[in-house]
Parts: sequence; C-alpha cells; structure tokens
Amino acid sequence: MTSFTTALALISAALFSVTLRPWGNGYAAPIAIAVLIAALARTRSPWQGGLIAFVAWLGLGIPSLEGIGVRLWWAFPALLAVLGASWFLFGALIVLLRNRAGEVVALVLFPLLFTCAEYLPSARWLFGDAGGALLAYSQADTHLRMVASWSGPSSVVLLLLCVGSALYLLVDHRKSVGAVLLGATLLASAIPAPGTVAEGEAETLPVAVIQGSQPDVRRLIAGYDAPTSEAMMNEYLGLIDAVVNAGAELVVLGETVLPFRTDANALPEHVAATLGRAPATIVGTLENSEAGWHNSAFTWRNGGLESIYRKQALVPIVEGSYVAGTSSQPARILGERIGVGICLDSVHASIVRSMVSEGARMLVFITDDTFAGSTTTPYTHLATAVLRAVETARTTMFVNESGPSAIIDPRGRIVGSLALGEAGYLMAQAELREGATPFVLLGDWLGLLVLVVSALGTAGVLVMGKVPSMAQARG
Amino acid sequence: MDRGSAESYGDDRGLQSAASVERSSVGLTIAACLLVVLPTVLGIGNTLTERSATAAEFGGDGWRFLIDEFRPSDQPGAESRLAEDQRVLLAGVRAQCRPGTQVPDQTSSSCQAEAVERAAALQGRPFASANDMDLTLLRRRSGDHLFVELEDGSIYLFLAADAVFVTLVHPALGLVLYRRAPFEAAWTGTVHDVASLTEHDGGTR
Repeated sequence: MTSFTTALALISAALFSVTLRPWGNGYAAPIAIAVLIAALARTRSPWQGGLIAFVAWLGLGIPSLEGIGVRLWWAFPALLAVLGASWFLFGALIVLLRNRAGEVVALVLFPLLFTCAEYLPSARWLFGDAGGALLAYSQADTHLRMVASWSGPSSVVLLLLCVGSALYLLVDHRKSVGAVLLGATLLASAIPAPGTVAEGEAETLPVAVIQGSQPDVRRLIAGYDAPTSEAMMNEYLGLIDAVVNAGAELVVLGETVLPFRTDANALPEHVAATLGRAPATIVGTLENSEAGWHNSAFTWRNGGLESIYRKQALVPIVEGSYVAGTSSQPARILGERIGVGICLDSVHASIVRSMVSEGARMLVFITDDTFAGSTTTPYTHLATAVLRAVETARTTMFVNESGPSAIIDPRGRIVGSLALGEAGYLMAQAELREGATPFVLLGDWLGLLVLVVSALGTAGVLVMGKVPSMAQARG
Repeated sequence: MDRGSAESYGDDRGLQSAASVERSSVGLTIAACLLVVLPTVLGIGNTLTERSATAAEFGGDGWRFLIDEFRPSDQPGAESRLAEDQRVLLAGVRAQCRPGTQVPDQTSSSCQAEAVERAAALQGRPFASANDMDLTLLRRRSGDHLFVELEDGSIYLFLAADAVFVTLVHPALGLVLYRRAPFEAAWTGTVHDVASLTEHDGGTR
C-alpha cells in the first residue's frame, strides 16, 4: 500500500470522525465515502482493500465507542475489532470483485456491499445487544436522515453511499454519470414516506425532561447517608416544581436518579414526595422479580412506583447479572400509550419498531451516560434517538442524566436540548402521533433486499468470472 | 505517476512529482491521525481528570487520609503490627486508588463472600448482616466506581466517600473490615482489627 493510499484511508477516517463529533457535521460523510472509494481504487490486493475499509471505519468507531474505553478499557479495542470486521470483509470483497469484473461492476456494487457491511452488524440476531451500525447515525443532523422512515438505518446508509459514489464519479471525470446519480439520490431522499405527516390537528401532551447532572458518587453516597439523599432529591424537586408550575403533565427523569439502593417498594418519604409532585413521572431504578434483577422504568401511580418497562438490550458484561425484559408493550400514562426504552434499547431499531407497532404514540428513552464522561459517545447515543424518531415518526424524549438530553420531533429535529453536564429542564408540547411509517410496517426490508441482491450479484461475478469493461464492450 | 513507474521509465520529472506526493502524504497522514485520535485522547483525559476532581470532592481527601494513617512509616506503632502483606496492600492502594477502576464481577463476588465469611468467623461478629447489607446487590450497584483493583489483582476495596461505609477485602488473608461509622473513629478501630486478624490468621498466608 503506497503512502498516498494510506493517507487517503486515514483522510476518509478523519472525515467520518468529523460527522459524529459534537462540533462536526454529517455532511462530511459523502466526502469521506468518495475518498474511501478513491483509496480502494488504488489497490489490487483484497487484503489491502480490507485494511483500507477498516481504517476508514475507525473514523466512525473511535468517536462512537471511546466512552466505553473509560468504563472498561479492553472493551474499546475489542468492539472496534468486532464491529469493524464487516467493513474489512466487504472492503476486501469489493477489491476482489473489481479485479475479476472491472471497475464499473465494483462501482455499482460498492453502495450495495457497504450497505450490507452496516446491515449485518446491526442485526440483533447476529451480534446480540453489542451489535450496531454507526454510519446512519452520522446523518442525524442532515437532511438524509429523513429517509430512515422508509427502512430504518439501511435506507439512510444506501442513499449516503450513493451520494458518496456520485461525488467520486464527479471528481473522477465521469461528470454526467455522477451528476445523474447525485440528482436521482437527492430526489429520492425528498420523497416523503407515508405515515410521516400528521393527519389533521395532532393531539399534544405537555412534557418535561429533567437533567440533574448529579455526580454518580453523590448518588451512591445518598444511598447510605440520609442528609445527602435529601439534599440531592431536593435539587430534583426544585426542577420538577419549576416544570409542573409551568404546566408540564409528564415529567421524565433519568435512568439512575434515585439514591443508591433505593427500594422501589419502600421509598423514603422525601423520595416519594419528589416523585409524586408531577401528574405523571417516569424514572428508572432496579427491579427485583422472581426471574432476578431487572433494569427497569417506573411510573408514579397510586402513591408508589409501578414498573412499566424492563430493559431489553442489556449492556454486555457490565449488565451480565441482570435479566433482560421481553416486552415492548407501551406504558399507559395519563391515558396515552408511551413507548419506553432504557439506554442501549435506543441503539436497536427493531426494539423501538415493536413499541410503535404495539401502539406507542410517543417515545421516551431514559439513560445515564455518566460513565462516558466528556467523550463523544453520549452524542452518538443521542443520534440513535434522532434516527428512532424519524423511523417511527414519533416525538422522542431522550433523557440522559448527565446529558446531553433532548426533545426530538417526529421529523428528527431537536426542538430543545441540554448540554453535557448541565443541570436543568426542557419543556415542550409533545405531538402524539398515530399511523405507521413503512419502517414500522415492514422493518428494515431494504437492508434485507440489498443483502440478497448483493449476494446474488457477488455470486454471479465470482461464478461468471471476468466481465468485459465498458470500453472493451464498446470496442 | 508513482515512484516505481517513474523509476522504470527513467522519468526525472515523474520522480520529483512522486517524491512530492509522498511528502504530502506523510503530512496528510499525520493530520488525519490527529483529527481522529486527538479528540478521543482529550475526551478520555478530561473525563479522568473530572473523575479525580469528583473523588476529591466526595471523599478523596478522606481516602488519602485513610491511606496515610495506614502507612507504616507514619505509624511506627502500627508498623510492628502490620505484616508485609499489608504494606504491599497500602502501597498498592496509594498507587491504584482511583475512581472508575473496574473489578471483574466474579472475582470480587467470590472474594468478598469468602472473606466476609472468614472474617465474621474470626471476629465472632456478622460483618455483612450487621448493617442489613445485601452484598449481591451491593456488588452490582457499586460496580462503577467504588471497587478498586490493586496491582496484583488480589485486593479489593469498597469505599463510599467520607467513610460512611468501608469494606476491605484481601482474599489471600481473608480479611474484611466493615464499618458504618464516622471516618476517624472507624479507622482507629480498623488498624487494630487488621493487626488482630492478621495475627489470628497468620497460617493462611
């Protein structure tokens, strides 16, 4: 691999990383893809092709997963290796196919194969709860996110790869083909999906997000020390009072705001007073059932906490001793059906799709990314909630105890947010939606379709051998 | 044109051009690497710095005090009572005590359970149940920050800020010190407990 090819792979990685950083922008992704194609075009070795693609993917993997390194250092490189393996494989494959069938075939297959490279790691049946694709989340702040309502992350990824390919063709002196592809892609992205537009005047619910930003050590001490517990809960009480006085009916607190060792069945008086202040409150804490311990969400009802959801996607290793929930049934709160997810649940589109299929009119994700500190990981986590909002066309509240928290409208626009480490609240009139997008109805059908087409195309090229290039065909 | 092609054609201008591309490539490679990695290094670095500050605010000073009190050189009286293992332990604590360090669940579980049992038997008092503590729950809930793994991987400590609660486990010695009392008072007693437990349990080392 020449030094220039290495540089191209790293430039692609750098541009990808810019798309996920809080100070970056998702519009850098198509350029990163064009640079990746240029790097792949300069090698004839499938191994080098795999390496180039893997290096480029590190630009997505490092910012997204770096927070895990703070918590469990060895999990960071391990996850990079496991989740980046698909890009290595498909990078090698695209070079192999180009060697056999020529550049045109490789350029046609590139968006398809790399859509597969993103689709497979996100398949929960294959990688479990640790799985997850990242490229789609780079588009949370761009117009391309809107196509997620068609088929979830795969539709975003396929269109993004087409735009990147078009840019490559434009720069590579194939301007007419590039322009047509770019135009067609942008046109396709502008077609609104059914179920994304509210019919008539939508109902609304006054909601509030509370971000306490309490140091986790203080929450832990509060479990042993009553004065600390009271002081801490008083701070939450102050925030809740403010939003209730301003008219909020549903107040959502983070995943771990209750003092350490709080028993949901025997709440201290000051904790109960805090949670009972609003007409409806959602909060997370541990739940003990016959099956074992669950990471659960509760709502305040009839003077006590009532479990409404058990986390399905448990964090591997860290939450190894918990029992996963199996139900995606929305909770009934204030007469409305609300889909509730905890932490890693927001990464898995299939879980959220089930919530909406079962009738959720709004989504709430509670989490605590304090472990990730001031890394980029919490921002990528927020980006997952943005995609989930677009896919399902539902108002989504993302409540992260240490921030960033946000209220996201059904089109994926962040209507209010709290910064990392900031204590405060957000309020909004949350639109309650009915209806189903193509993604809610059919799931990630495009990812599956692309997988089948890619497999057939790849098999065809490998079986038929060398395909004549366009120039040869014309001659 | 790359360097190989230029050389094979004897193309001087091509060689110059190839050399220029290589020089640019090195610069671009370094810049790209920095753009990917530097924010990560800064993010993780800032996080660890913030954690240290939090630890200091919520008991870090107390913890250092605890270590100082334990240091044999500062406590000639204690030195004579402390075995070599404790000195290693204290040195390890000094070097390693920082929030955010993880302990493998299984290890801490078995060590803690065994050590609690043995220590309770030695001292004739039920350490864990004295405060109605569910150790299983404790292990799960406190896994984030308050377990500390020492260099040799054999000693674990649980500390909550101003010594509201301290557990110290040494699997090899079977020691557990468990207190729920004001820090200073607990610590005086703890030094004594360590010494007496060590004396009683000398044969296990």
